[in-house]
Amino acid sequence: MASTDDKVILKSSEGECFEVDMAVASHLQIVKSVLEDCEGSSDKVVSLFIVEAKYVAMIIEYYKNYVELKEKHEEGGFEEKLKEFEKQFLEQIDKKELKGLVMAVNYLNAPALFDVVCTAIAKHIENKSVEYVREYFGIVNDFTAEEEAQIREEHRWAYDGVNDD
Amino acid sequence: MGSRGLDLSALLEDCIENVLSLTGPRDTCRLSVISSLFRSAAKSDAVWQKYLPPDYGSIIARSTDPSMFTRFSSLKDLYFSLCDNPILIDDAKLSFSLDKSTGKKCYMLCARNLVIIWGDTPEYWQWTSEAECRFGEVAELISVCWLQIGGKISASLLSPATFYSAYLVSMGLAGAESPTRSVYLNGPYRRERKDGWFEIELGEFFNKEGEEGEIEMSVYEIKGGNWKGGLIVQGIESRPKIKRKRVGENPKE
Repeated sequence: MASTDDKVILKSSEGECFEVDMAVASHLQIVKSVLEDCEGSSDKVVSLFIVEAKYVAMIIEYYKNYVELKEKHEEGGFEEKLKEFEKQFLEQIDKKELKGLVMAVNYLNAPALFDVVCTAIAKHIENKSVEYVREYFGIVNDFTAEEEAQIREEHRWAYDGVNDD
Repeated sequence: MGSRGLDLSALLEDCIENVLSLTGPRDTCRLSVISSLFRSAAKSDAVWQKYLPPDYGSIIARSTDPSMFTRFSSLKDLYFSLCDNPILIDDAKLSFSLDKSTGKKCYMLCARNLVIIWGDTPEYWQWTSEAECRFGEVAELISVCWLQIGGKISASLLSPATFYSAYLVSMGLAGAESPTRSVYLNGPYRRERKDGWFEIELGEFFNKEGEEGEIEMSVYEIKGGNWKGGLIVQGIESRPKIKRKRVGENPKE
């Protein structure tokens, strides 16, 4: 299998190190470009400054499975198997963690997982009230009461039949 | 590489934009009140590009006013204009608009584009204009015994993987001779529209992905024989049956 040359170390915001196959890490565009910038250097440590270890672990798990499934189902059926895995993968992630994960994935520029996480969040917030989504994202309302009333008025049609939670 | 200069709020806005674009026009508009960051994401062209049909450019190019989209400063404004103000396309034989909550395509065939039995006989049907009509002409029923109106629309024009309903859009009463035998057109199925016209649902159909051929929509009498008149026909409209879209369902075209 892969020699140590094909490995890279990803360092989380807490300083925790993860040794990862290049085949997996190359799905993170930011890692790819960092390594290209310092080509020839023996130092294969990439710091992912803002990404916490728990998210680094999730992202590695996703792409490890992605790479394995792609290899195993080269002949076809990859997309189906990937969908199955994505379902399991999302089930073990807390709804609150999805926000942190999406920011991390966006920062690392990993398109496949970005779509998966964005879709999961969209599913979670669809048809939810403004108050619920505000709390979910931990976002502070920076509108004045008048501004808020005006924006609600602009889109009055969009408020019928919304779930309470 | 350093983390300095990393703009976290730009990163967040990018995520919000993507998430919103996966929810739908209704959720996007409602959630724009969350904060100024959400509002800005909810206005972005990247989001509304996803809600407009992929071929909106070529549809507008077929309209009687092909430069109309230059009047809008954002795709969101264009979207809502296409929801509220149908445009005329294909030599004004067809009107096009969008269903506000799903962004799916709606079309109305004008009366001239329909097959109206006896429509060319002035004793039975007259062609006039009506101020509130989106087309230049309407068909006014003077008097007939046998009422039959139909139209066809090519399936490829409609949004794929979508439930549609067809409606006859009309005004006036097709008064039957005997009030006890009033025709279906006056029945409880008739609903008033926002534009002041009335509509009757003729039926529904599912437009499958990759569907070819034409969809035929028609209305005719089962029990004919009475003389009736006074009906003004604007056209037949096809629009999506209101079913709330769930994220991940109903793949976009």
